[in-house]
Amino acid sequence: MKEDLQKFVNGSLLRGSEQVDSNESLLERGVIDSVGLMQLIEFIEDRTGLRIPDQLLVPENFRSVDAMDEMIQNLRNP
Amino acid sequence: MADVVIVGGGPAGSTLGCYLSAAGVDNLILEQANHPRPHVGESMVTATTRIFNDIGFIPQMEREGFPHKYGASWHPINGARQFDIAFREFPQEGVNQDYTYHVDRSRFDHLLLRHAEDRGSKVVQGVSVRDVLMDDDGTACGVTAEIDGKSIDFDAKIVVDASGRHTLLGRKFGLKVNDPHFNQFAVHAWYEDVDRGEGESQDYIHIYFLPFKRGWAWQIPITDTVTSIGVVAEKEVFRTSKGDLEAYMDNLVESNPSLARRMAPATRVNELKQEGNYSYSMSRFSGPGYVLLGDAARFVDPIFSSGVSVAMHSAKFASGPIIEALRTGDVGEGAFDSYDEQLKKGVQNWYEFIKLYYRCLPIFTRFIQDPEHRLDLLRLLQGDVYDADGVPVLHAMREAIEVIENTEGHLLQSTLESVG
Repeated sequence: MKEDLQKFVNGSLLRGSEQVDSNESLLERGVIDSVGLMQLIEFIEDRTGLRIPDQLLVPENFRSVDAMDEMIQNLRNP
Repeated sequence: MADVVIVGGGPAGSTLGCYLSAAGVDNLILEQANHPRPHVGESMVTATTRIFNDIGFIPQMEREGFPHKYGASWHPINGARQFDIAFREFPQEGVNQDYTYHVDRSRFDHLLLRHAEDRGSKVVQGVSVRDVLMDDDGTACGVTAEIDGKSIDFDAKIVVDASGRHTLLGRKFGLKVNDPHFNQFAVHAWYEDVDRGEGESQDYIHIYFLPFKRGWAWQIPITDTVTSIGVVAEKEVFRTSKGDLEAYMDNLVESNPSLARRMAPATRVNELKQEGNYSYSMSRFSGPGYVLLGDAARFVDPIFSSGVSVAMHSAKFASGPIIEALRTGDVGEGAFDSYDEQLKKGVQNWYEFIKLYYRCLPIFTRFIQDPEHRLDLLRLLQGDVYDADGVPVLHAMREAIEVIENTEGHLLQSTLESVG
């Protein structure tokens, strides 16, 4: 999942501009605006079949690909 | 003298005429225009089918060949994908069709008025009602109208205002309260060769989010080749048009890539028209000797195609208390309170929904994809808003918005719009 997510971020969200590593901050790159966030949520929910509760839509969980992956692990193993 | 005089022969007035005639109540419809006449508001919700069944109007709808509306589709601003709903996912009690209709309102309203006449209403067109007559104790008892330059009084036991946005009685009695949040303008026209999309969704209504304050656009099929396109936004956005409707329309169409793509091959086939959509409500929907229906009672942002449904439901709800009042002879204060209550509950639900929708658009798109909320949302979108047990999805939307408001740093906080 983490690899897919990394590909999605670099492919669909960053679209050819400078790529990020999994621990790099997406917040600073400005890709987590409401449109980017909705695309990420949709991607994660479609791929995993999980529902991300509204409470979790905070910077800590979307700051980087690593952070999103950790959130997904936590949702899978509550 | 008629038992009931109905001011206005649009969907509200004609529907009431049908219900009253079925109960043997003598009624007169006074219509200002000579139908057919143009009107905005071309798409419907499935809840209306129950009323069509009640008044025996389905055969006419089918014979006329109005496009069947099987669902709705939303297009966010980024143009990435569309969100569809199909009405068949949630069959409604008492509704035996999994579709509703899109209509050319000039034909639809005309047919419905003729239907009312066939069912027993007396109909006079080309009559401008100027005023309401009051008896000594302040009960409405008829109207004054102008026909061919002559003023004529029509006495009645009950006066029904179905005058639409003219709001005859609301203005006369000072009942009109303008909405503090919504003051939108619509610009619309018919086009040929709009790319309506693929498969079944070609005949859906398509709603496009626009990056302007309370901005959205509609795409509604009118015939096989003609499509109605309209753009809606707050007055402050509309003002920037400086009267150039064409440039304004083009600008808003271009602002959503999906809409721009659909409109690229299109040619306009009639005049661009503008409508002030100022939302309002009357402080009461009835009083001594009078009842207000449809747009004459309340008007809200038309984003969910609720107008005709509210008009026809208000007629249905009013018919019972009107028939009862004529039976007992008491048309005074309080006689139509049950009608007030029933209609208020329904339109309030629509209004709440519209406010929550604008407050946070991402919540709407999240809910529509969420199996837990999708069917409840669908039920609401189909117009089932009058149930006594309320509309649970509104509560859930409210809670979701509270989470966004109250969670520090929540990533959707920037999307919150101030609405109410």
